[in-house]
Amino acid sequence: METNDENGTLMNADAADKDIDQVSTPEQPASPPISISGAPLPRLNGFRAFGVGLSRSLRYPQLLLVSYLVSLLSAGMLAFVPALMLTTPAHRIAIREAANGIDDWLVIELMESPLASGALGGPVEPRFPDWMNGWILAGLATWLILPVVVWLPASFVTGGALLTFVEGQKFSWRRFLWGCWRWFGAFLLLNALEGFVSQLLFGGLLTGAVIAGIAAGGWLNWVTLPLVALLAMLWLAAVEATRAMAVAGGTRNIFRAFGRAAAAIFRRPLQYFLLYGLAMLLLLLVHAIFRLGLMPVVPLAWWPVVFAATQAFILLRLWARLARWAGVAGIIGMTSDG
Amino acid sequence: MKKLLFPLVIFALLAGCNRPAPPAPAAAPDWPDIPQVASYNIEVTLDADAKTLTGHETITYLNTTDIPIPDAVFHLYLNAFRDQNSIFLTESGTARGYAWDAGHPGWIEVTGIRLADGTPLTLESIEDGTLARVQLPSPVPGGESFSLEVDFRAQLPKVFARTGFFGDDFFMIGQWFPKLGVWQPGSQSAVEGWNAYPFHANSEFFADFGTYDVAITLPTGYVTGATGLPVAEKDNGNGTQTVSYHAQSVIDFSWTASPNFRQTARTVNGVEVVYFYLPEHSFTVERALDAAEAAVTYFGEWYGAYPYPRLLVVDVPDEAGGAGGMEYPMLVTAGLEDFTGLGIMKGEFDRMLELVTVHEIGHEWWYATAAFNEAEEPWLDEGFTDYSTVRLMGKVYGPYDAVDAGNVKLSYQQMRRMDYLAFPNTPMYGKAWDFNGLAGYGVAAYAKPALALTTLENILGEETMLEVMSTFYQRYQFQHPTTDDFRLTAEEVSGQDLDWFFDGLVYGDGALNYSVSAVDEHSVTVMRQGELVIPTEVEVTFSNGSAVLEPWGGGGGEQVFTYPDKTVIRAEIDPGRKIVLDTQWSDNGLSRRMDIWSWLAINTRLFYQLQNWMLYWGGL
Repeated sequence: METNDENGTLMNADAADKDIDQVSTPEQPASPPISISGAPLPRLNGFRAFGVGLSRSLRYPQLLLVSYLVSLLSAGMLAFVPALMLTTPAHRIAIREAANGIDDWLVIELMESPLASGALGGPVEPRFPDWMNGWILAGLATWLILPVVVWLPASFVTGGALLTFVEGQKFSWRRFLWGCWRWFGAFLLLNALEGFVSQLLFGGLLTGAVIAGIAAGGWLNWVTLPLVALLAMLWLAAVEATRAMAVAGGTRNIFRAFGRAAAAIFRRPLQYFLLYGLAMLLLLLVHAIFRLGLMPVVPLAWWPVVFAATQAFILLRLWARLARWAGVAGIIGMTSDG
Repeated sequence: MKKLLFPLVIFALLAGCNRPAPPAPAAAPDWPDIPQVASYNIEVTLDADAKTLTGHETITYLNTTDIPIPDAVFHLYLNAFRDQNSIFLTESGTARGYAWDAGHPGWIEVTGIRLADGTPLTLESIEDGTLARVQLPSPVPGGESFSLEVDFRAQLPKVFARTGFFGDDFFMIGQWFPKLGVWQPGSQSAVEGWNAYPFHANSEFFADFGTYDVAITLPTGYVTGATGLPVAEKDNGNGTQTVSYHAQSVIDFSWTASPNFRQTARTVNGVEVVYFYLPEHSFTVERALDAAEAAVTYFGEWYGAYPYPRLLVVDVPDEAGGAGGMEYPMLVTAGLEDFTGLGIMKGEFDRMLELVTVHEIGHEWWYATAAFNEAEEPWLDEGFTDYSTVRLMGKVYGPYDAVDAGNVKLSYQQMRRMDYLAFPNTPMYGKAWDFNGLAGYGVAAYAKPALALTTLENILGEETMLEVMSTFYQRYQFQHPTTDDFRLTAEEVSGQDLDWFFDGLVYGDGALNYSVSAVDEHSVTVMRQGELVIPTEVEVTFSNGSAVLEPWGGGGGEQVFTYPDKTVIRAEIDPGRKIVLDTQWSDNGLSRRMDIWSWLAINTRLFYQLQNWMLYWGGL
């Protein structure tokens, strides 16, 4: 594969990758995995970072496989109880319609079941049907454990994946697992903080934008919504750069890594903007193909086809995320930011 | 400069093409030939800066009963918006999500009232001032008429509860002049005298049919639209113009004015359907006209032809939605507010514009022509109109006629079911103010009647139902029919005892849920929860592929059907989902075997959704 380097010269991608590859081993955990300070490394612009990200994510299919297996296992764990609870309503004839897509009448009935059952003179307290009570409980439990199920495996895998990208060596399961273990705790904390801050920050920002839109007129949404989207992208870049910075710098202090990541983004905003802009466009493209092109023509009751389509979509999204991570690792590896 | 002028002239000419042309002389249209009971000749001047009206009216009222009329009772509706002590504002400070603005109140004052011969009369205010009474010097015997000369001035409120001004130059003017109640003889259901109530928050209107000749003076440059036909337009030479309208056999007169209106028109079955729209809503033109055309065509086909020569649909500005979604004779208001400001509402995934247009035009058959008493029996007007809307929307716009946006799909019928299921223990019958707030009124007057009439249609069959409705309309138009009249017609035309509908649904507050509670090898157990009983049927399918349809009255709470010689595999109550009031369709059918394929299909999607959410939570 050939790409343009910074000066427009065609070069082999593997060779380009080698320029930024650094070597470290599990036997050197105390020192940073890559050498960065003072090294006269070439700059990697946003376009190239995106290209490098794509090629590196394809170079390590093992990472995609592990990410996908984690997704399968986590979703399987979460889906198990609700699936069991669905065996009772699966005797109802209406399940056929639900299999074809949840129709408006069913959604409305389920939503208003407590009010309607209270009006029938049955139980004094309004309540859902028995099977649905179980389902609601299972749903609540799922919702409560969702962050744990999401963050535990994700926090574990991220360190190994980033280490692989940062080092750019031949894939090593041993090295990968070492990276997973080393940054597990730090990334667990970072993910928890990310979740908390994201909800607080963007919940507040979106609410503010909506209120402002209502107060000042809908035209304001043209200003506020893109601004919120830009901030969200910036926040995502900051968190992901923090992880990459931690791995590249060999530190588990996520606060220090966050400070360095923020400084790096501040110093080189265009690089990050281009990388994340392109990454978001890729994500949008994947979503558009799946949601607008594929799913409207797939009969939902044909579950094998639905399974194939949805899993392809999940795989593509995982790949897009890995490509983004690899791109950030590339930027950090090619600069003195780490 | 000349290069610039030419396109400007062309542009001005083109723009002028889109502006309303001066009214053409009326070509003697056919007005319904009925007694003109309450007729009004009004001259009114709009002060567009002060937002006030100053007017004079001559009212002529014909006593069609044999009871002498000793006095006259007027509605002064605008006084509902004078201050927070009015009945309207005590009952509800908001209407359709728009709040009354204390800085822009509305009121009306009668500044003079006298007989046609000049004899002065004294007006006395009743209750909160939304009603007023005047004693006549001598009772007016049956068959005779009396005339009153009334001077009035009014302050328009900032648009709220259907009427008022918005910004500097939009006016939607309804319930604006002193208007008589309805003189009626006593009956089992009515008290002898004037049928007139104070203006309640939930209540709409009731009036006699009559002729209206209205001359409106307002600043030049304003485009006006109104009930009736424009018959004359005069430039007064002092910065004002006077536009005159004439209407016959109508129960009210409303008008609108704005210099920003553009208009377009279409002729549908001989009716001129005119759409007044604002430039920012030009994208609604085809949609609104298509909906109006469908309404005039189908309602005409189903119930009887639209009886007037013209129908005006008026668009309202964003943020003046308080004026939108209202019906008057020959004039309805619609409008589409793009609350996102992003042009999202231009997409046709949302049919609110069509829904409102169709619904308001539907009122022309029930509010304007049948002319139900909306205060005493609101379910008739709103219910018949909403049932007609459900019917038409489904026919013209398909199964998801309210919203069809990707995964979010919603039919108007299900929208109404959503309202109903929140308050299923609501009777339909009752005075407008009897119901608990706007939500209770909404269920009683709109949602439940729409679903109840749809259920009635499903049970009687489309052909019989249309015969019921058209017979009722033809028989009672221009006569203020009541619930009893509808019952008489429905039972006569259908040849059925419809106690379940009238006693159970109109007057009753029961709800029902039918469910199959057990399917065994040789028996099926069905049950009913709730007080409401509607006859239905149960479809039982056997292992050999055959099926039987068992009629079930629904009474008795539970019933077991046994089949000693056959093996049952599944059973379903009301398989055609005729009873749209059933609170839970999902438990209507039960199979002995689990449907594994469907179960897998749902779980596949559940599984994917979990993966999807995990990706969002984990950082896209």
